[in-house]
Formats: sequence, structure tokens, C-alpha cells
Amino acid sequence: MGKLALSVRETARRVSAGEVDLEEHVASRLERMPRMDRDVHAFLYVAKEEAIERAREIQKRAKRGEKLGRLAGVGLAIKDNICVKGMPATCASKILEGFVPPYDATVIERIKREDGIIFGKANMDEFAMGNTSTSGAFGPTRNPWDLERVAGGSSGGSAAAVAASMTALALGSDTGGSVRCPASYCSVVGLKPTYGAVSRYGVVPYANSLEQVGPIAKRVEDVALLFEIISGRDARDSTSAERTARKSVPGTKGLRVGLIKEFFGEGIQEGVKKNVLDASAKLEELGAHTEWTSITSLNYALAAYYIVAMAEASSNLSRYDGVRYGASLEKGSADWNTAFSKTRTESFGTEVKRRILLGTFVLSAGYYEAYYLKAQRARSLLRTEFKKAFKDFDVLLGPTMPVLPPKLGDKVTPLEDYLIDVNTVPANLVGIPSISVPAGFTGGLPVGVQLMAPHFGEETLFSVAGAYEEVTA
Amino acid sequence: MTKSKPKITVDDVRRLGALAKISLNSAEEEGLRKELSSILEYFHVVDKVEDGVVVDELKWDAVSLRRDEVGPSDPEGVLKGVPQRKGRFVKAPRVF
Repeated sequence: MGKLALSVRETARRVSAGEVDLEEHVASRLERMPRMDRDVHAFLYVAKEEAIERAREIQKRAKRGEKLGRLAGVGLAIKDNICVKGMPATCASKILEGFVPPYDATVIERIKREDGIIFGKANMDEFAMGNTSTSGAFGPTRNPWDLERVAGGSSGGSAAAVAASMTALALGSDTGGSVRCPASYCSVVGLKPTYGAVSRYGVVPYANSLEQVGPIAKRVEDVALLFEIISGRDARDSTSAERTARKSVPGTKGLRVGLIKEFFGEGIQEGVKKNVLDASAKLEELGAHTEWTSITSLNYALAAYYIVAMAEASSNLSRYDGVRYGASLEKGSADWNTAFSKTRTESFGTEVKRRILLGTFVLSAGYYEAYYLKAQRARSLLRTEFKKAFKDFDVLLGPTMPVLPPKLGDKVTPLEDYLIDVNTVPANLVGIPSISVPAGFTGGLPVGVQLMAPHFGEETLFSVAGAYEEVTA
Repeated sequence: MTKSKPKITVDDVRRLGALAKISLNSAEEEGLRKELSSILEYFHVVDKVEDGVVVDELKWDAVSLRRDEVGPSDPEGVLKGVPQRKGRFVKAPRVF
């Protein structure tokens, strides 16, 4: 499927050469968007007027013979927790209804500089808390491959928009797997960059020490291009880092691949396991050496992740009080305590409240050491063990998700729901880059294979994932 | 010593709600008591991590603060999103 669509580079080349009537193309695309998106509901906001205006302006510059950017005329879906000037940013929450950011996130500035066109804001789990994109206040996103199933989350709208060919590119954010999970469920490529590789300025925070903005596309080459554009040091995010010089990238010949034993344990579905092991065999055919390895502290990863994420969330979400922006439900003469409580109680969804309360608990006096500090220690152990593993292996491999996309409305407890993030959270705790690449289908449903590399090893991931894609897509 | 494996009571849930400025009805309190208890019980897997493990800080060579210089700003753009205003002022609930 991927090979049929034009690559982003080719689209940009044609637009730059004036071979496309861009305004006409964008106008007809955006005209049809609400109908295309009726069943999937990838978008919370379709930016029709803005996109057409932008296409017109880019086309004018092409006609004048100006050199255009690397995303010239390419459409993007932007997760609704990333600020785009003049477009709503709700994070799929009622508490941010009516909020229109007066500025662009750094990643958006960089996309605009390269002449990309934003087609709209993508649906998600409320405040990026979830793996289904069903917890938002404005209705669920459905999986384009099977409308009865979830698209994954929390960047479900972004992945679904790309899978359903509504946009060529999308941006999601990944705090514990929120780019890779929907990429896996929707059979597209999604990258969680190294912590610090991409600026978080203008991204609504959920858990600052874990999250990164990540690109989504049908092919590895396009993900790599978008990553190159959005990454790099930004003075407005003190945790962002300059990209280090490209390290030598190993080809697949002689590549040392570690299969993480813990990722194939209890809870993995047979079909998923088979496809991922097939992917590993494919890498062997391409000349790689695969070997089983164990990272024992992975046993702590899920608990450590949720403790840290909820603690940070409870602090981050205390800013929503209905005074400076967003929803404000108490307009009378109530005191601040009553007014804040009313707005927060009626505007936050169930999962968001649950995480705020748990985060408040694990940070409270007497419990901080038992939970938060222990989780930080577990995080250190994981960092040490991964560092050690990367002495023996160039990349680590496993299934992105242990299960196939669940059906909408499947009843699970919150804890059961958290448990399926078990393979994606380690990369966030450790801060390393991780990519999910389509690994075929089983029973008609997509499977994703996850590759992880050492800090700032994105080029290695692109090279390996690209080689794999070449022989499988 | 730290307290571990606490039993979460409805009172605890209510106290957390008050701290987080989230009101809960009695059905929600009971539901959350159960959910929070089972999630916190699961979290205790980290008990096995030894206290001797040093918490390492992320070190970034690149981390540096930007210069403290006034840049362009858009006060009217920012004020546009304020739910309740009085001219150039943000109207907030009474504190006393």
C-alpha cells in the first residue's frame, strides 16, 4: 500500500516544479474531508479555509520561481495537544473548549517554514491519557482497517488520518507509547524520538520527563524526513538538545539484534508473536544476527511509568482552573475553591480524574518514598540495563503492542488497560528512540514491530526499519 | 520508614479529591476506592527495587538557559482567550 502513494519528497518536488495545481488539489481534498472522516473521526477540527489560503500562497511562490521547503504542499494532521496559532487546541477535553492558542509550537513553526500545510487537528485520548483514543470528550476515533475496533492511542486521530490517506504526514506525542501504539494498530510507521531530540515548546504537557512529539507516516523515509525537520535545539525548551553528529549507521549486514525475552512473555497474543518473530527472521535474511536477551528490570517498568506519569500529570493539570483560558463554568460570586472545583469536576473526564487523584496520592506526605522515589530508582535500573544491552546489540526488537487492536466498548478495568502499554513505556523511561513499523496482518488486523536504539540513534532505526520495509511493504 | 501497602478508604479518596479540586459523589468515591486500591497494589512491584540504587539525573550537555531578554509578545492575543475579563484585567473568583 505504501509504495502506491507518492513519497513526501516526490510530492514536494512536483509542487515546487509547478506540476500540481495545489490550490485546486487542497481545496477538493478538504472539501471531501468531512465525508472521508465521517466513520473514522480522525479530526476534531478541519482547517479548510486556512489550508486553502496557505496552498494559494505556496502556489504563488512556486510560480514566482521561489525555492520551496521540503514539505511543499504536503498535508499534515496535528494532534490536538500541539498548539497551532489560530486553531483550537482542546486535547479532546471539555476543559480546553474554546481555547485558541495565540502562538505556534516550535514543531509547527518548523513545519510551516518547510511549506507543509496543516489540514487539521487530530483526535486523541483526553490529555493524551490512554491507548484507545476513545476517552476524549468529542467521540472516539475508529480504526480505518476495521471500524469496530479502536485506532489505538493516544495519538489515534493522527495515525488514522495517515492510514486512511487523509494526510500524508501526522504529528503525535508519545509519553508511554502514544505514537507507537496507534501506528501499530493502524499499520503505519511511528517514531518516539530520543528524549530532548524534539522541542516540547507549545505542546500541552502531561508528563514532562517522558514525552516527545513524534512523526507518523506510511513509510520510513517520510517519518525520517519529518523528524529531521522538527528536531534540534530550541532555546524555548531547556531540555531540547542539538542533534549530535550522525553516528555511523550499521547496515543490516552484521547488525546485532537483541530480541527482548520479556516482550514475548505472558499476555502476548499468538498471532502478534508469530508476525514479530517473522520480522526478526526477515532481518536475519538481510544479514543480521538475532539473539535472545533479557532485561530483568523490565518487570518494574509499567508500575514505574504509571507512578511517574501520574505524579507529573497531577502537577501539570493543576493549571486548569477556568480563570486564564478554556472552560469556566462558575461565573457567579462563588469563592475560588468552589469555582475551581466546579470547572474541574464537570470538565475533566473519568480517566483524567483517576490519574490526577493517583498522582496526588503517590506524591503525598508519607507515600512519596514508597512510590515516587522507588519508581525513580526503578527508572535508573532500567537505564543502566538498557545501556548494558546496547553494548551487545545495535537495536532491540519486540512487538509494539502485545495484542491486536481491541474492539470499541470492550470492558476492561483501568489496570488491565494500563497493562497493555508494557512494551512501549520502557523507551520513555529510558529516554531512547523507538520506532513501530508495520509487520503484516494477522486475522485481518495489523501488527507492529518495535525497534529501539541507543540515545540519538534515530538514523540506525531508519536504516534498519527502511531495509525491512523495502522487502516487506 | 515508609508506610507501605496502605488500605485506601473512602475518606482518603475524598481527601485526594479536595486536594486536587475535584468533587466526587458517593458512588464515584466508592468506585475510585476500589480502582485506586487495585492499581496501588500493583504499583508495589517496585518495592523490590533496593534502596541503594542511586537515582541518576538526566545530564544534558546542551542544557543552557536562554538569555533573559524581552522578546515580542502579544498581550491582546493572550487576553482573547480569558473566559471573564474586565478591560485589560483577568476576572478571577473571590479569594476571601
